[in-house]
Amino acid sequence: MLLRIGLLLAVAFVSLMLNLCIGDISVEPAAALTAIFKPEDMPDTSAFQLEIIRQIRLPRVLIAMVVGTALSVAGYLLQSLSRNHLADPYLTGVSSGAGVVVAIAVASNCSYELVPLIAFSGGLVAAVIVGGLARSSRGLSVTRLLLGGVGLSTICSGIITLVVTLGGDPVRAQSIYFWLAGGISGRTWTEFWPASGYSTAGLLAAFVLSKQIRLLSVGSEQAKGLGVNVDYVQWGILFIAVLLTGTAVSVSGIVGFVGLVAPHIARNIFGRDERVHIFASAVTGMILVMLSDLLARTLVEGQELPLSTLLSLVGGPFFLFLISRQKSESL
Amino acid sequence: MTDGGMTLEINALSAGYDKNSPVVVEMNLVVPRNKVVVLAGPNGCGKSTIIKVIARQLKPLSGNATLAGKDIYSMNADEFAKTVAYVPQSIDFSNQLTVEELVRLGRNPHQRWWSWSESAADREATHNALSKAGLEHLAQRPFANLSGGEQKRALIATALAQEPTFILMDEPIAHLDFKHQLGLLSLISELKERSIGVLLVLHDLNMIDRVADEIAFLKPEPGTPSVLFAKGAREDVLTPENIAQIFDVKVEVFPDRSKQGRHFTIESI
Repeated sequence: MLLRIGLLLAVAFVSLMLNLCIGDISVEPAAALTAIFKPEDMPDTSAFQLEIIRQIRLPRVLIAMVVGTALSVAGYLLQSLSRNHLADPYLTGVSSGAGVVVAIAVASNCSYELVPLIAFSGGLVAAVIVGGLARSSRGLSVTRLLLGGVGLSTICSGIITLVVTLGGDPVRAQSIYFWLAGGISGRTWTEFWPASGYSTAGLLAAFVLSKQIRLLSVGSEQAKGLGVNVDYVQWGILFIAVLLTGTAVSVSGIVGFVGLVAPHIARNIFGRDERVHIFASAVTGMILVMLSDLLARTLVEGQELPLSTLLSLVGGPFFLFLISRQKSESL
Repeated sequence: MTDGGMTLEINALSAGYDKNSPVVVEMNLVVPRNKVVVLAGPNGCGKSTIIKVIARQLKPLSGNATLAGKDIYSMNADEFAKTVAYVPQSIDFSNQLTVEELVRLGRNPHQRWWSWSESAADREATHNALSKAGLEHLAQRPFANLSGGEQKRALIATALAQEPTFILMDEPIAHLDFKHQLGLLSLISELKERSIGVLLVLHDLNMIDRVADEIAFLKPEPGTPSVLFAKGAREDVLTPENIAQIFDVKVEVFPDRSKQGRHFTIESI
C-alpha cells in the first residue's frame, strides 16, 4: 500500500513539474524549482522565466490541484451518501446550482473572496432540491438523483443564459461564458488563496467524517442501530460535498466528471478503506486536472481548449462504461 | 448501565406507517433485563413494526417506549446504542466490508464518533462477539459474499459487540440451518444469564417453547389494527387454545422426551 501511495505521489509530482515546465516557453525543471524556492538565485537573464513560473504557471497548477481535490473529494462524498458510484457534483446538478449564483455574482461584480461562499449557497440549494427529489422511504434513489440533476442543470443553464442576456454588458457576458466553459486559464494567486482555504477545510472535514461514512455504508437502518445520528451525518456529508463543489466552481467554472472518475480509479487501486480512499481520490483528482489542463493548453498550438471539454471527452465515455457495468434496473 | 432492575417498557403504544391506519394499537409490554420475551403472531400483525419502534427506527404514532423510565427518543444516539442493540431481519448492504470490520462497527457507541482508534476493550469485545457467533473462521471474508444464515450471524455478532443491556432481534433464526438455530437459542439463553434482556420475533412454536420466558401474542382483526391478545409466562400463554384462536390452526401438543418439554404439531382446521 505504501509503495502504491508513493507511486501516486510521484505521478502527482511529475504532473506538477510538467505543468511548470511545458508551454509556449519551455523551462528546465531545475530552473522551475529554483524560481519557486530560490528566486534570488535566478540569473537576471531568466527574469522572464521567473515571472512565468511564479506569476502564471505556479498559481495555475496549484489551482488545478485545488480543483482536482475539491471535485474528486466532493464526488467521493456524494457517492458515499447515495451509496452509488455514479453520483458526482456535475451529474447531480450541484455544480450547475453553484454555477448559476456565481454567474449572477460575476454579473453583479461581487468581491472575489465571497465567490466560493456564494457558490456554496447555490450548490446547497441545488443539493437540497435534488436530494429532496431523490429521497424515498428506502433512502436516496440514484435514478431520481441523476434525473433530478439533469432537470436542474437544464433549468440552471436557462437561468444563466437569462442572466447573461439581460445583463446588457457584452464584455461581462463574454467573461461569464468563458468562465462557464470550464477552465482555469488566467487564474492567479487572488483566486488561489480563498479556494485553497475552503478546499483544505473540506478535505479535513471529510477525513473527520470518514468513520461515520463507513458506518453509513451498512445502510441507514443498521447505522442508526449502531449509534449514528444518520440525519446529521448525511447533512454533514452533503454540506462538505457542496462546499468543495462550490469552491471548485468558483475558480474553474463547471468542470464535469472529475468527481466521477477520480474516486473510481482510487477505489480500484487503493481499495475501500475510507481514509486511504479520500486521500487517494484527492491526489488522483489533482493529477487528472493537472494533466487535463496541460493538454488543454498544449494540444492545439496557439489556442487553448476549455478544460471541461477535455474532461468530458474522457469522463463521458467513462460514465457510459460505468452504466453498462451496472446492469440492474435500479442503477 | 449498571442498573440491575432496569426494564425496557412499551406503554400504550400505537405504531404503524400511516397515522390514519396504525398497524398495532394500545400495546403494553415490559422486557426485564434477565428475561427472553418473544413477540409472536400471524404475518402482518405488526411484530416487526413494534421492534422497529423500540429500535428507534420508527417513531410511535402514540404512546412511548422507555428505558429505566426514560423515553427512548429523548436519549442520545450513542447512549441508546450502548443500551439497546438491534438485529434487523436483513440489511441493505452495498459495500465490501469484511465480517470483522462489520463487527468492529458494533463498538461505535463506545468510541468517539470521529476516532478510528480501538481500545483493548474494543478489541476484546469484537473478538468475543465473533467467537460467540461462531464466525472466527469467516472473519476476513467480505460480508456480502456470505450466505443468508452467515450474514445473520454476523449481524448478531455486531449487536453482541455493542455489549448492550437489551437486544432486539427480528426473526433471528430465519435463514439459519438447524445447528445454528439451536446454537442461537443457547446463545440467547446465555445472554439472559448475563442479565441481558432479549426481545425477539419468532414464528416457530417449538423454538418459542424452548427459549421464551414470556410471550406476547398479537392478533390482527380484519379491518382493524392488531392488539395484544395475550401476554405472560410461556406456560400460561403458549396453549393450544390461544394458538388456535390467533393463527386459526389446530394444534396438538406431545411430550418431548429429549427435553422433557413439549412438542407442537400444527394442522389446518
